[in-house]
Amino acid sequence: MTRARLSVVESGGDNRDDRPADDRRLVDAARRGDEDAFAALVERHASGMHRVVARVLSDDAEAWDVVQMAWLRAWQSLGRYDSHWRFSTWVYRIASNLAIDVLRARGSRERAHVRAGEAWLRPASVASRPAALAAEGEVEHVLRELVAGLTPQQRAAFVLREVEGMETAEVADILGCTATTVRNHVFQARRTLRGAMEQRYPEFLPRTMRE
Amino acid sequence: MDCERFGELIDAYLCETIEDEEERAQWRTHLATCRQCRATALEREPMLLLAAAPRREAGAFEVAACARNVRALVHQQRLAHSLHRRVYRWLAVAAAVVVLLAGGMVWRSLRVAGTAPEAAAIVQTQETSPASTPEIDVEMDGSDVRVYQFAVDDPNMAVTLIVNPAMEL
Repeated sequence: MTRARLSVVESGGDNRDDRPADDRRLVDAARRGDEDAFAALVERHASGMHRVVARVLSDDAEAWDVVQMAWLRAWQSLGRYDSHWRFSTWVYRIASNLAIDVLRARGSRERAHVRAGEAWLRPASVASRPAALAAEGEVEHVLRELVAGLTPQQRAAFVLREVEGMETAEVADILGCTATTVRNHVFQARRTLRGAMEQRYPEFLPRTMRE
Repeated sequence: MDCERFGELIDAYLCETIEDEEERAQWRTHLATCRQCRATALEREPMLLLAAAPRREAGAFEVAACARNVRALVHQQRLAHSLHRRVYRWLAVAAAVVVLLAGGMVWRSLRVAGTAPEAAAIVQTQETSPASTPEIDVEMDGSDVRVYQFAVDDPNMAVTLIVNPAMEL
C-alpha cells in the first residue's frame, strides 16, 4: 500500500466539494438540451456512483446497469432539479433509491458476486492482519459477503457514510431521512457486520477478540 | 488531528456522537494514515477496517462506456418522444377528417327524410273535424229494444247502446 493510494482516502474520494459551480454550469446547459454537457456530468460522477451502488448491490455488472438507469432518470427529471441541492447529492439520491429498489425486488435471496479470476488470499501473518490496510480487492470481497445481512436502508447508509465518508447531512438528503436515522442505521449496521465477520472472517478480528 | 485527540474520540465515533463533521472527517483521515492509531481503533471495532480501506475508482474505459451508453439512451428517448408527437399530430388530423365526413353524411340523410312528418299532420287535421251524428237502423224481431245513451264530455261524441232485452243478464 503506497502513500499515493492513501492520499486518495484523505482527499475524500471524488472531490465533490470542488465541483458544484462547474456542475451547475453543465446542468444549465443540459437543461437546454445539450447532450455533451450531460455526458460530461456522467463522466464526472459515474465512478463514485458505481462504487456506492456496487457495494450496496454486491454486484459490479448490475451496478453499471443501475448507474446508467439512474442517469437516464436524471435526464428525464432535469426540469424538476432544484439547484438548492448539490447536483451530486441529487443524482446520488436517484442512484441509491434505484439500488434499494433492486435489493427489495431481489428479496431475501442474496446473490454472491464472485469476479472471474479474483483470488481470495489468506493472510500470511494473522497477527498483523488487522493493523495493515487490507488490499482493496479483499475489502470489497469481505464487504460484499457481509452486507447481505443488512436491510437495504442500513446497507445504503453504511456504504455512503462509513465506507465513502460522506457527511451525515448529505447522506440524510440522499436517503430521504433524518441525520439521527442515518446514525442509527450506521450504528446498527456496524454491530450486525461485526457479528457476521466474527463468524465468517475471524482472521480479520484483532487477536484479543479471537482468543 | 494528533494521536491523543484521536484516542479520545474513538468511543464518540463508534457511538455516533461526533456532531462536528469536520472533526469526524479528520478522525477518519487519521484512521487511514496512522498505523498505530488504526491498530488501537481496530482492537475496539474491527469493522473500522472498512472505513479505513482505500477507495477504488472505476477505470477510464468503464466510465467512458457508461457515458456513451447513457448518451445513446438519452438520444433514443428524445427520438421516440418526437416520433410520438408526430404520430399524434397525424392521428388528430385523420380524426378531424373522419368527423367531418361522418357529419356530412348524417346531414344529407336528415335532409332526404325531412318531408314525411307533414303528410301525417294533414291527415290528422282532417280527422279532427267534428262528424255529424250517425243514424242507426235497428231491426228487432217483434221484441222491444232498449236504447241506452251515455253522456260524454266531448260534444262530438255520442255513445248509444241498442240492447235486445232477451240478451240482457
